[in-house]
Amino acid sequence: MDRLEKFIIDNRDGMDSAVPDLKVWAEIDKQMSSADAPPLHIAKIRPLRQRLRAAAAVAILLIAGGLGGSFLANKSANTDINSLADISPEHAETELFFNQQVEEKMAKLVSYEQADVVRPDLQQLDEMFKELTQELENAPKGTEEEIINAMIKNYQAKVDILNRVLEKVEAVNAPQKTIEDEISI
Amino acid sequence: MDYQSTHRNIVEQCQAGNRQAQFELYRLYSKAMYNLCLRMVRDEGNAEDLLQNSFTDIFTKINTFRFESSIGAWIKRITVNNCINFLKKKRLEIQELDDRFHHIPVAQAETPDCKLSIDQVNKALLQLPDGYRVVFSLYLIEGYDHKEIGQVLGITEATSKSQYSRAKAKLRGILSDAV
Repeated sequence: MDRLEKFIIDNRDGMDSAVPDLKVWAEIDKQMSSADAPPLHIAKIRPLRQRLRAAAAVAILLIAGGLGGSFLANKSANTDINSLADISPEHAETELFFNQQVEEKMAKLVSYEQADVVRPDLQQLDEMFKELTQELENAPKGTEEEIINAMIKNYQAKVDILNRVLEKVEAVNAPQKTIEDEISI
Repeated sequence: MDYQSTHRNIVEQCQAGNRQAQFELYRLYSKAMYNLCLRMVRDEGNAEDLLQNSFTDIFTKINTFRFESSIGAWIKRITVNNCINFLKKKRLEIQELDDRFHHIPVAQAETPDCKLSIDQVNKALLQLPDGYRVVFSLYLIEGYDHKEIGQVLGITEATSKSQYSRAKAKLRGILSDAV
């Protein structure tokens, strides 16, 4: 191995300096969500199961979240202190991305009467997020990454809840393509 | 080989269709795969498209993953194949390059490593012609051997070797001009 090869291998990590735009994930997310109707027999089963799970989730949310809430989506999206943006520009971008996702999906959801059902869940996630930011402030060296991961997962969970409820709500309100149709396939 | 067990849990959740696990897997590998795509196709827009298509393929096919290799190697293989297919559509010509860049000042300069930065190497790499760049990246940066490169690109092991040494010579030439 010559010096050039050795230099590159020794600095291998530095070769991966570019960061992909988060819109790439948004597109993947979208594609995976719309991959609901693949022609394969086996693949048919999963969306159905997901739908049933979503239905169960909505049922539970309806019961648990009967009171609705004064919580607003925008409030969840913009916490001005102790956000991921305070950690690094890369994390700021992640945060911006998820906030946009949450806002976008919330904006879709508010046109349906079932919009309130997600609010208690989102509120709970917001509280968890606040706890995580406090934890991060006092985190011993080396444990930050774990907490940041939890914060990102928290965002993803929000988007997931909104996706699931949206999917369910849109299915209910859409011109009939029912679960029964799919079972008979 | 730790990867095999470390990410097993995430992979299994992905196989069950869990979106959060998919995002987790994406977070673990997207940066490395994006840089791989960039080195292969140079252009940011195309690299993003290839990253997107590759991860869509990965999540669609993940049920076929049997933990026989590391998930990282499996993800890399799908991404590399997508990049190669993309380049082939653009007519990636290995043989042609063999002739065109025959006279390269190989021994002209030893690498001036004291002044060299990895950023310079990255930039110089992007100046290599497609065939050179792909073989060089796969061999030295992605850790493929010449036999594997031969299989992926549909060339002989010997061609891969000669492409690699010419690519290295050319790269050294670009770097010595730059420093």
